[in-house]
Amino acid sequence: MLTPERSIEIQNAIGADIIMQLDDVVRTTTVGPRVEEAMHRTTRWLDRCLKAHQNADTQNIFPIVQGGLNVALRSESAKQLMQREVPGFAIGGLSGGESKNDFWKMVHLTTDLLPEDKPRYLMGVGFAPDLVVCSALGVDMFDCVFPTRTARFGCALIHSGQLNLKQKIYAKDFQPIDEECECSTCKRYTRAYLHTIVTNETVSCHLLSVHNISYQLRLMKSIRKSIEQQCFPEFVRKFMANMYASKEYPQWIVDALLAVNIHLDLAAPIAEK
Amino acid sequence: MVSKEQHALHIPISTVAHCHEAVVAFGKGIADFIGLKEYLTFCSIHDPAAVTPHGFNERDTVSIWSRTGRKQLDPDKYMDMIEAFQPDMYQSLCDGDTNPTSSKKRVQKSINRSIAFLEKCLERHEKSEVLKESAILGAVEGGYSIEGREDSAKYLANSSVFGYVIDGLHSNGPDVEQLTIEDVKPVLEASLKHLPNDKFRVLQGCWNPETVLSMVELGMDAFDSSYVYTVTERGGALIFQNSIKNLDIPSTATDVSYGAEPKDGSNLKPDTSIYAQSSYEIPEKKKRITDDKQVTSVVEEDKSVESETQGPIVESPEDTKSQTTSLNRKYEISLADKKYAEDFTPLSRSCSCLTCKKHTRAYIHHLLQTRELLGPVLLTIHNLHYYMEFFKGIREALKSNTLDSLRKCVSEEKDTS
Repeated sequence: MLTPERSIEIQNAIGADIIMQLDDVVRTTTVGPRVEEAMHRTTRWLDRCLKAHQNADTQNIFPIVQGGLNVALRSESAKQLMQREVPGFAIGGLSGGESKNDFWKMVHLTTDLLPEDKPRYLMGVGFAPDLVVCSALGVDMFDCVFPTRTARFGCALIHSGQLNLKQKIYAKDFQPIDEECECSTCKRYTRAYLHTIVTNETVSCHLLSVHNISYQLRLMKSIRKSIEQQCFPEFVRKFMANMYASKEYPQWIVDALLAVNIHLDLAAPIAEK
Repeated sequence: MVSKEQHALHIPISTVAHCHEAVVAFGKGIADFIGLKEYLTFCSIHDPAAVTPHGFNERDTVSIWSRTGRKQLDPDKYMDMIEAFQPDMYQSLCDGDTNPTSSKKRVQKSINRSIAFLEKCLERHEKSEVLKESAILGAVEGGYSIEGREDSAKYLANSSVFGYVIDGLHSNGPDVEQLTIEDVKPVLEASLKHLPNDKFRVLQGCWNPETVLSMVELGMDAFDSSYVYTVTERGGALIFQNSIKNLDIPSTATDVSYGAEPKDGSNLKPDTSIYAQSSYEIPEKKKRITDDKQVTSVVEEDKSVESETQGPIVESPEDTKSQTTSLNRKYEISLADKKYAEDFTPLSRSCSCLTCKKHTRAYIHHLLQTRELLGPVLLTIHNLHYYMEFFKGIREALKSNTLDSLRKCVSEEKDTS
């Protein structure tokens, strides 16, 4: 069992630049008093972590906002954590099986509350469209197992979604995963060759992980660039058009972007998701 | 990362058979298909690291075990694949399913079938446009029959092959590590006796480093890296002394004392040759080692170094399992062992591979404990690099006539603490 103090002790030894408080997370499907209990406990544990932290000069500790899908609890959590002197904030408890409609609203609520001059880290997100939408909602940092996990299952990420390289359609496809990708996998290997090794040779895990991580990093770089060049909304429109070729955008994406004044090009009826 | 020099890839047909159709459509050969077109390629039939099951070859076909199951290949099917893959060098289809217990009849079959297969393969080879720049090797068969070996070799010596694969000594797999030169020397010599000195000789299998050295002395030119794979698979890191450079044998020990000079300088092929040495004293010395299989380090010429047995190992020469253990301990360390959990030294202090430059034994141990993919990756980088340095050492020792010093280095008990 892990206590806040033991968690910080371990993280101090590992020496990471950013460390996380020990929080009390509940499933988004949980209802009732447990959610509130977890929210308060998270605040108490933050204080214990801050006290136990030995390396405030060299390691940045982030608290984690909780509160489930409850507006009042989430707001309360953010407010409580903001009373502490910390270098950044994480938004937790939102990468489970909740509906995307609930998900984006909680992210939006939290980013509106958190200070603008400190990084906001949304934990456990995620899929490319989610990264773009949440960046629009004001999130700065993300983490996810998705790119490497899907790589191990033989899937490669591209602008329009995923290629499942196990499929026979790739047996004689001699293109790289992505013509425009500059990763070491795309420089050397064809879809046809990767098709012969995915899920069979461990090296396929490495090759696809390299590509997928490269994809994620390139995506984030494009987001940053478009923000710097003041054309972020245009970037989002283009990204979504590539991802949803038929322009059947999921409703939650349309709504979330609208909430921050980004209008997608709606040429076709919207699909419910 | 492993090596900046050019190397040849060993590609067993069994491991790429399932790519045949795709490579045909691709049209540019297997090396390019797998993204390694700057490498030379050598196609064998089987993967030397995996045991080839007994009893599945027939009069007109050889069985391989591919991703999609057992396939029976006749020379035409085999050559269809070779033509699609376009390797720089490949062995002819052959039946090498023999071992020390094979009957005379079975041995004869392997010789006859292999000759028939070779004839058909040569026919296809000579007709082929895409194989014009490729070299075909014939297989010397004959199991463990001296007469059979000589017959097979004599036939091949008269054929138009580029070189030879010495086949039929084992059925591949990790057990080959336990074979010593004594097990195979008579049939190896019989195989080589009638083969011209200026043609390439390959011997496949997971032979251990000392056996490899002995085989080089007898006249073998090339080996594969399956040994590296089997060591890595069990979490081992090679640490035997693989070159003469860091010699810590007392200077009173003699190295070039046998006086055997190259019979004729022109017999030496660049980088890979070995000359005939009928006057070598080595056979006697080898006999000393193997008479007492419990000795795990070489008894020095001048007896100034005591032979040491290391720890509780070999009980009896017949106990091959513990012989493997003693062999393993000699050439490698076992990173899964708890004692490395806080050992922050590199795998080998004398190694310049990426793993030894950047990582510690403790880290590799951790990776193995947590079953991370990176563990075997780092071990492979080290073991492959180390093994290739060993072969560099062999080539240098041949050039400078110091093979015996190298043998002493390799067989020294390495301090694994």
